[in-house]
Amino acid sequence: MILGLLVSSAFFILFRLSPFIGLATLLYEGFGTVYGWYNTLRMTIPLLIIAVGLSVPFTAKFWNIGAQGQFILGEIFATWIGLLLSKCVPPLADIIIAMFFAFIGGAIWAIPPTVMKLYSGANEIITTLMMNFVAVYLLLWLVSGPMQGAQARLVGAPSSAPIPAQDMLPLIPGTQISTGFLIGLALAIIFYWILKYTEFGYELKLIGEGEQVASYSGINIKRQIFLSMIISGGISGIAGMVYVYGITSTLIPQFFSDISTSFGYVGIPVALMSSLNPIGIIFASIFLGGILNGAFVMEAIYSIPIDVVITIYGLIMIFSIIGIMFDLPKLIKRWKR
Amino acid sequence: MNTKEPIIRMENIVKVFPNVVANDGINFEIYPNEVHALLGENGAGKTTLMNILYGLYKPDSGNIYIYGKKVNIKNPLYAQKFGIGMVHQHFSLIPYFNVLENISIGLNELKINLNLEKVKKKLEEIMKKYGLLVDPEKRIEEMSVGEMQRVEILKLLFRGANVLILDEPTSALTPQEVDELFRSIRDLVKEGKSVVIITHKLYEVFQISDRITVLRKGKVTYKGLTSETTQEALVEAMIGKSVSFNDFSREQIKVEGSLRVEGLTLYGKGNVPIIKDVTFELKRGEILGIAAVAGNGEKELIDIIFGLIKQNSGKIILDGKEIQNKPVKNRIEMGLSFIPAERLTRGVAAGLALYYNSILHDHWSEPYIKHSIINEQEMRNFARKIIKSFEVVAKSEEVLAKQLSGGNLQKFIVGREMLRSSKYILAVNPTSGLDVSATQMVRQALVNMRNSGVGILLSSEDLDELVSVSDRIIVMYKGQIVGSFERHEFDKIKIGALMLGKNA
Repeated sequence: MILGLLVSSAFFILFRLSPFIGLATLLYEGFGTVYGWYNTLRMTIPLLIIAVGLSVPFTAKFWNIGAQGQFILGEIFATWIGLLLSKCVPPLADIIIAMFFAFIGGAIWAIPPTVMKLYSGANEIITTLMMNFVAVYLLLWLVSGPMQGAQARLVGAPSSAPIPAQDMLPLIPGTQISTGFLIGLALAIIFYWILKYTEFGYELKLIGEGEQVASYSGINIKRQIFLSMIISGGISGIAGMVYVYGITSTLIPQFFSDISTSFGYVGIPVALMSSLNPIGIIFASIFLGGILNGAFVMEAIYSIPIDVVITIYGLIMIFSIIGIMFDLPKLIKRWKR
Repeated sequence: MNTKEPIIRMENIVKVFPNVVANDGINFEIYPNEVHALLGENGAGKTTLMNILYGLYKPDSGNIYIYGKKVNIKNPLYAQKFGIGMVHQHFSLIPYFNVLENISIGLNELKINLNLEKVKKKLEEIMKKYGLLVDPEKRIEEMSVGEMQRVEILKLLFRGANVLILDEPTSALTPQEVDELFRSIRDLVKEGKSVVIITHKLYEVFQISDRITVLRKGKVTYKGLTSETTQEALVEAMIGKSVSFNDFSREQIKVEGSLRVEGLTLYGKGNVPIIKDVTFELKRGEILGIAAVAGNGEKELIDIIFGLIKQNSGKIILDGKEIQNKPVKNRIEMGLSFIPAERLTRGVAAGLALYYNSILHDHWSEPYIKHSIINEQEMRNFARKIIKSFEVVAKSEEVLAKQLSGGNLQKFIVGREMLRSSKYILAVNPTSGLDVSATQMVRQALVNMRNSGVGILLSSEDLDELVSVSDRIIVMYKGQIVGSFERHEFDKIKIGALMLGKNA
């Protein structure tokens, strides 16, 4: 943790900024103001939902690295059905249908790598990752072609038509926080319970302990892995829907260099640093969401190039994860003594 | 011949592992120009003894003398200095390297400059001298097992080994390769080397050895020249003479139902049969023992019955219903339990708490799970019951399975499988690693289960155990049933001979 601060301080100094002020700004903008909190939660929501979804196959030690692609497919499906139905059904129905389609979209994207792993042994880390590449360019093609909005076409921007305002997810009354946050919290609690107290969770844990003991225990490993990936992909899809319906309102392309929007990747450390505990994921996603948000504000205030900000953000993330995963248990032990 | 002085003398070697005395006061001598066979069943302590000589283990007590001088072999490097070399059952060659490179690894004089030409020259001399021919440029991964073995032996000769220890050298060889190996061994002995062969195959001993030492449960039970012994004497020494019927009280109750296996066949790699046309019937209220030397298909047979491996053909009929195509879960529901040999990887989920591990075979049924929701309290209760009734040493049911010692883990698994209600129990080495009293407890429990009408299929490496608890024993050799004995016909020597592939 300290190492992370030192290294990022060096970067601040490089840009003629007091490291202390730099870090303070980062945290202040992330967590210090009401407005900062709003923005932080905006970043948190997709991270939270994706990480909850990832915790399911991760429990069985099935490594789904494809949340980004599943997230994108969720966005695409939700936007497509939303634009199609917006005038025919009431807003609430539109949101529910969009969420359902987002789940389907994410799940579809999770199926091919899962089947490849279960029936031919292809490494899921590679195949899920590859599916991300396909998704990124599928989205780029859609928003600059078939799904490009009329407005966007005029200015030549790659984006879809906006979801009508009345169909968007409402804000929590009295705040500027999207109700997507509540969806995330609900999912976290539900999956905390599922993983801890149901037969499904029990079987996933056994699978994670090893194929031998799982098959000895009479578990249908293939079926449960498949199910866990459907859930994981589907939830990542819902994250995509919540992102479009709660934050951006249009489909916009995403690239790999654009870490800020690659929630699918950042979700992986969020899930892992919380030891796959969905309640822990709530806090971890708020923390990383805050740093992400703080980094953006820094760019605006001090006109540090975005690349540097993202570098700093990455460093802080790496070191804080190392810190949390290695130091925290020790600290707790010391404190108990 | 007896006037010869031994090169190496091991005196009173004792080696104790947790739960087992591997070597219990062994005296062993190696004479020049001789092939010495070290014979014994699995777990008799053969490999342990040779690992001590090779410096891999330290004996707890006892001395080693080389040419009459007491030595301390701290590690294999010292053993090499004393001219001792060992070929392990699993070769230690690097597959991507060729013969020369493999032989060069670890040569002291090489330092940085790898003078392969020099190595090659010396190697060719050695190959010529001993008639052990391989292509020095060939890569290990392209070689047959027999060739690899030759490379291992050449490696030892290159380092100047005088005494070669070969651990189960024929286990992976084809008959032709065995002949070739034996010819090479003869040549080596002619050139003044001494060879020790670790084996449990009786006929090989007569083919190749000059002198025999038999170990049984860590003790020397026979010692002498091959020319002066008989097969019968060796079998007796390996398996033990005393037919001690540790009698447990047996009651016969009549319960309907049986587990029948018909014509079960399983092929391994290259269509080699692992199990061939096995047929038998296990009735409820009976203990059926499977006697086999490890690796004769007994393990696969039990895995197939439980559903972990799919058979190539044949039927499994449980209480009149064919189950050979049913998933494991169905078979468990129909009344099968299983005490596996691989306790840490299969018998428990090592990283989970004991109470999680208490319901592996009931994790879908009440009272532990109701409408797919876990009842943790019931799981804990059952785990506590296992811990209490099988005297598992564990702080609480929250301890992780991997934190238990091997023996305690075994007690936990045995207890779990016995305390859940089942009609048939498949058990593989249920008492391995347990101390005397725990062993007695488990055997008593097996007989009690039998008396209450459970059918038990017991595969054990311990022939004494089979003889003491079984109602019937079938013998498996190379995947086939080669003999069947009723309790009143039990004869360890006959059974032992069949296990070793001899016709009694």
